[in-house]
Amino acid sequence: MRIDVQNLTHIYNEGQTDEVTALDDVSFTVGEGSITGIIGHTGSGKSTLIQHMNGLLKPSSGKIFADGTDITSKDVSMPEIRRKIGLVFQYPEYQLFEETVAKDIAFGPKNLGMSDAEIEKRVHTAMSLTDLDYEKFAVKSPFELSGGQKRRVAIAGVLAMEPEVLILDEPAAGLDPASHRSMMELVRRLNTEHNTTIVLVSHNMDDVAEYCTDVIVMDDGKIFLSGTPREVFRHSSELESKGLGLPFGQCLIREMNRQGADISGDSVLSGEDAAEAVLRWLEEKKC
Amino acid sequence: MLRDITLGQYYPRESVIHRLDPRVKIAATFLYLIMIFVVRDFTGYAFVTCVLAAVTAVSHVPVKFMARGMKPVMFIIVFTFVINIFVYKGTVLVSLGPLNITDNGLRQAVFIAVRLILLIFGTSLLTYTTKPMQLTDGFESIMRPLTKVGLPAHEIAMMMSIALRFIPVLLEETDKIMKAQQARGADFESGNLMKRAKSLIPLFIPLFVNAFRMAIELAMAMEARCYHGGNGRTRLNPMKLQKIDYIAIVLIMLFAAAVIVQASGITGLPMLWPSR
Amino acid sequence: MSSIVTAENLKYVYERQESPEENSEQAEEPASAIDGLSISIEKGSFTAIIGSNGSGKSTFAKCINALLVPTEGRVTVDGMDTADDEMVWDIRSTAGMVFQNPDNQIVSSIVEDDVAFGPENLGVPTPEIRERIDRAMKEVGIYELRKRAPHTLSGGQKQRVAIAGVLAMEPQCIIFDESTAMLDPGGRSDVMDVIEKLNSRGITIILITHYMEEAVRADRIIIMHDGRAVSDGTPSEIFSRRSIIKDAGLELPYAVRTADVLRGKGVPVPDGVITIEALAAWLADYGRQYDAD
Repeated sequence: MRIDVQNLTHIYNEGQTDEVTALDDVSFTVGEGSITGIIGHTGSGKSTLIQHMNGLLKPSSGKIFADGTDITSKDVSMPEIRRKIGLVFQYPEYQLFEETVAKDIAFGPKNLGMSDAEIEKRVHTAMSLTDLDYEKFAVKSPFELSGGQKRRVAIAGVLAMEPEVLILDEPAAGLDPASHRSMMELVRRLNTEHNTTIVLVSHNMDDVAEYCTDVIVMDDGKIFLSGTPREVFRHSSELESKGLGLPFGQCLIREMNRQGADISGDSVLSGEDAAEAVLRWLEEKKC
Repeated sequence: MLRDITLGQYYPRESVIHRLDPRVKIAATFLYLIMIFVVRDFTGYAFVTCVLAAVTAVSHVPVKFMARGMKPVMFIIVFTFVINIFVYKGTVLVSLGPLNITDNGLRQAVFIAVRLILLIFGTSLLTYTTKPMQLTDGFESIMRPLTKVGLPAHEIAMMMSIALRFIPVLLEETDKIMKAQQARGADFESGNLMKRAKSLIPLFIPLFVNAFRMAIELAMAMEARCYHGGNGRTRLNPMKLQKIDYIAIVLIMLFAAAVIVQASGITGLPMLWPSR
Repeated sequence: MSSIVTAENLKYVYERQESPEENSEQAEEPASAIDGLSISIEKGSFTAIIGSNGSGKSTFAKCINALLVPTEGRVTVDGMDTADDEMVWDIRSTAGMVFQNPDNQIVSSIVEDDVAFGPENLGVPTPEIRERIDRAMKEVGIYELRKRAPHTLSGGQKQRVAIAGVLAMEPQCIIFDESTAMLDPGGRSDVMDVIEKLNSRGITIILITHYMEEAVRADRIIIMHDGRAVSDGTPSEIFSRRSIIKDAGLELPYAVRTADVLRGKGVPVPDGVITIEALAAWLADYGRQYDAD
């Protein structure tokens, strides 16, 4: 599914003394099958933006189209949007409430009014996607699980709605390195194997560089930069001036230049990219 | 929507009212509450309202901000108004089928509504102008004599201050969970009463679980910072009555005296729409 | 040098009913969260403890602070036994602790009142409380925020309030229990800068973290796995032990991974290069040999 955001503006407490423009004329497209990263420091409007994309917030002005359907219109069916566009908030493990893992995952499909057989099937699928063994976990209480497992249950709860677009806010926040890696691999698998369009909000520039196909940089409610990771991270000085980090490879090249190396590597993202740039640089020097 | 709840919050300003000793403010608020119940007619309420307005003006807390705090309790006020307007007997003014609005009912309804509004405005002014920590210190200090009869004054005060500290955190949490469940298709807004009550389960269970987790973590953090009850605790800002506090005490006494004199009717001034 | 924290054959077993709800980490911890740990931490040092969820590192932190008392073995803080009830307040003011969640460790609704909470509990006289909290708030860079309400601050600012609250108790040692885990990169680097500053003026730091990029800034790293210390050494020693890192469910810092790639291509990056600054400096320097030709 493709999402077009057009001239989206959102003002909190509009007309009051403490009104805040959280989004200011934002337009962009999330391409079908893409993994679109949204970056920006805290308070840049990312969170407000993704809540619009799922219909949780209504814009002050502007429109959002999901495959051509205007989801900001009054006539649109909310359950239909929620089914097609899934949203996983930060630390989603804190919203679990059912007695068992299976029931919690079934909450979404049930709200959409599906048949018991269909729900059962979807719970199975969602659990296997998130590496939760059905036999072992289905009847357990979600409150007995570890932090990482709880998070996977929460994500399974959204996956069970089989969304065509999945929006994730910092899905790997606070996880240990191994769980972090497997969470990001899950995101990639959903995209490649299940053709789910992904919108990923993240502070981790290395994840964004490694996993995203497109990047949108938010600053002060506006889009500051957008493009592929290579196009965006090329603007390293501008990003740094906005208090945003850079992927490791780009940091290394910048640090080397600060040390007087005079190495070019604008399109460098990962450590591997940086290693290649270093080798090229050494080659040139040898000649 | 939940962010609108300003009731019970502190509104930082540099005003005389903010600087007053919390004990004086608590005692004054207490006296004010009694006086609201002493008042018998609308002249009295006009006087109380004027005094309250003057204090509010001095406190620099915007009336708009205070009015926003009234929103969540508006329902209660309207509710009591509606109840009152129908239950009193007297001269019938309007007849709606079996229900009658009488002159007494109308008067009583308006009277109670005004009383409630004054009550909430007055008490919220206390929390708007007093830091929660000072408020609880004040309560603790006032209640201290009662520790002799086994009242855990310090513990109660500490619980109150923590409750106030966590109001915004829990509101934010509620908002977050609500949205998260809505994203999973939960519907908090439609259906009959039973269905709506049931739809709150996915909101309340995680909220309680999270509140307990917060409580446990906070308790641990407090212990780690050597909290061991009120014994041997010193204070960053110990309370000492200043000149301004003594002036405030005199003023509030004068206010109370004025209300009592007016309500007793001995001034001979006419009463405005009093109850019989 | 003398040690400030020691653990001798420490074992800690969670009782069934108290374990799961306590916090998200502990549910993963096996019945025996710490299983025979012997460590000694030098005064004034900066030690990072790394390990996957459930490795027992948070439990260890709580044992140092006497929030948990060993099931077996002994933990001492500046010579005081944590099992000794008489000593508990001295232990907690000697070894302060900053927790993970910034919201759930701030007691008061005003920043400076919260910073004063510790000294108030210790019975510090009023004028001295004021001095201590002003100094602490300035040191972590939140003095300008002292009248604010905590819920209006960013995560990084809240964590610095928590640090100031501990500092005002004038501890010799501060334990950071995943205190950067919930912060954004800006907040994290602010907190790390404060940590290094405190260490440079002699405060012992024990940093529990998931971020390898933070651990390399310590002068000693301990890897915990299944309730035991499986590796202990300087950062460069630790990150040359590839198989231990992998078995403990951890990852190498990016600089080390990149250095590995370069070594594979014949660039002789020395083993001790584990930070981005060191790698960049070495490479820049290595390139210079060709300039001379």
